[in-house]
Amino acid sequence: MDATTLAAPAAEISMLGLFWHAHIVVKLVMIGLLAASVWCWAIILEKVFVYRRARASLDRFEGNFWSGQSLEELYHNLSGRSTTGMAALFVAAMREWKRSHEAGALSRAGVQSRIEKVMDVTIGREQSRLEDRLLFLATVGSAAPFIGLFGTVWGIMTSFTAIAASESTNLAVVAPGIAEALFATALGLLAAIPAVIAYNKLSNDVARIVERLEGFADEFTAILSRQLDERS
Amino acid sequence: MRSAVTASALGHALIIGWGLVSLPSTSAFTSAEKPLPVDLVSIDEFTQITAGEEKAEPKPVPAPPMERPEVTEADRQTEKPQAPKAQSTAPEIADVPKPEPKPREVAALPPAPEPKPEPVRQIEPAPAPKAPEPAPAAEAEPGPAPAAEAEPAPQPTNVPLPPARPKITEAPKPVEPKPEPPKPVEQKPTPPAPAPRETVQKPDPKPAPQEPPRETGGFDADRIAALLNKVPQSGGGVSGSGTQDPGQGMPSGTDMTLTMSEIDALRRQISQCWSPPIGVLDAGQMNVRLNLAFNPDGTLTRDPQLLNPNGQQIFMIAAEAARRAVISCQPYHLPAEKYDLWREVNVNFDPRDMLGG
Repeated sequence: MDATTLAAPAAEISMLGLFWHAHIVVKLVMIGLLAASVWCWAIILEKVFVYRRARASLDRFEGNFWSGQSLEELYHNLSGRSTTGMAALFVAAMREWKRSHEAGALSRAGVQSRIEKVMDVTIGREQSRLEDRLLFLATVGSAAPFIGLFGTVWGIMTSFTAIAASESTNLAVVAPGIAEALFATALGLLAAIPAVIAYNKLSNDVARIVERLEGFADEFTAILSRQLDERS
Repeated sequence: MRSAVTASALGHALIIGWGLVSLPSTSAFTSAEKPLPVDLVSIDEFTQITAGEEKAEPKPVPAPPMERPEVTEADRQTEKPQAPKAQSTAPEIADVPKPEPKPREVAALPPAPEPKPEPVRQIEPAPAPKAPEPAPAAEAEPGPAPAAEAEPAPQPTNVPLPPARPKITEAPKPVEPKPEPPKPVEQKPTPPAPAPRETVQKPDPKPAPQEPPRETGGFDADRIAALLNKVPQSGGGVSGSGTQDPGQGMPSGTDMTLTMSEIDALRRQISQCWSPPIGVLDAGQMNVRLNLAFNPDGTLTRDPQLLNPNGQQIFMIAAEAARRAVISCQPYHLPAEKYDLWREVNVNFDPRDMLGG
């Protein structure tokens, strides 16, 4: 949008018109913000479902674990397939236990510390899997307003250029540029607000899941430790 | 993840589509500024339009005698089609105040067979004898010429000038006809000046007898004075010419009248030098009327003459102040090409006007 098109009054003020009359920089900003918004919502949707599934699997595994079922049996059921969450934690711990047991481990403390290490690693892996792409939400939430502001400033600049070119401060001369500039800010906020809200909620969800995993790890460690004591 | 991306993109597309459809696109800006029609009107058009047209139908409501004789352009336009050909040309002259000499065969041509229904006033012949045939100009005869209906234009002239084509500076306009004869502007009855400039007044055979031809003074200063001041102020367009030699016109054949702006210019120049006597400002009756005669270079030919002497001492003081002002302010800067018109001017010294202006 150069000065002449700006100076031409009565530019169409609709969403599409705002976009098409915008400067290329503002256009890029708008497109980027729109893509960021799409990606953010994709992440949000995915994470919401992933966390729901993770919580459901935690509940299911806890039900199985505390059902009085033999741990050997449970391990045999789970070890055949790829597991996530608490089941992965359990499988990793049981595998390490079995290896130490089969190798005839002498040191009780060494076995226990290895099991804890394995569970810590598994918890860390699970946490990073859950938090994957969550950082993008944080980035969009903090950067999108600034990107939109950049488009706004650019649009305002073109508005003033139009004023200088047409030597008129008529509202019809200024308004289209300002409208498109504000449209960029609106897009930025549109992308940032859900991203910020979702980031806070999802990171909270991740923290809770990890907390449950750590709690389970502590409990399982205690169970295994009691077994070691009984065996020795 | 792919399904989530698809769902997100779909959702955005839906929202944008909904926004495009349902969000009202604001109607295009209509500039709040309404265009103001502005007519650029030269002041001449008002100051030069003075006369009325006899042919115009009298309006049901008689206009007061002091009503302005000016006619708006629209009025004249509407009136024109009614007037016969000879008439329609006359008002045009007044419309165009340009100095380009327009040879008008209105009155001067003796063989002009068509009766001129309008009083044509102020014919200034160009100095160069454009028309070879001596056209006798008609002596100004105030009052309706009843018998002139079919009378041909040539009228006896009293000036032996080679008849040039008279230029009509003021043509009667189709002003709303006044039932009573318009007030004749005073013309100076001074004997013919050596300079053979004549204001021409033509008594035209008027089909409309109800309107006598108006006598106009030399130039519009009369009009302005009459219109603005309501104080009789006679214009001295013609120096020393009470003689109106119709058909002969002025030696310089340009169509000129002093316009209000020029009168104002003169008045402004004078007022710069004028210190009205203190104490009489509110008197209101201290109108001093001076008759000024100018040389072409803007200086005074003679001392200003007091036209309305008054016995009161305070008035004489005011008159003396005005006279001093006029003398001390010379030379005056007035358009040289209109010298004929401001050669002799009557000026009102009204303390209110001078100070207020």
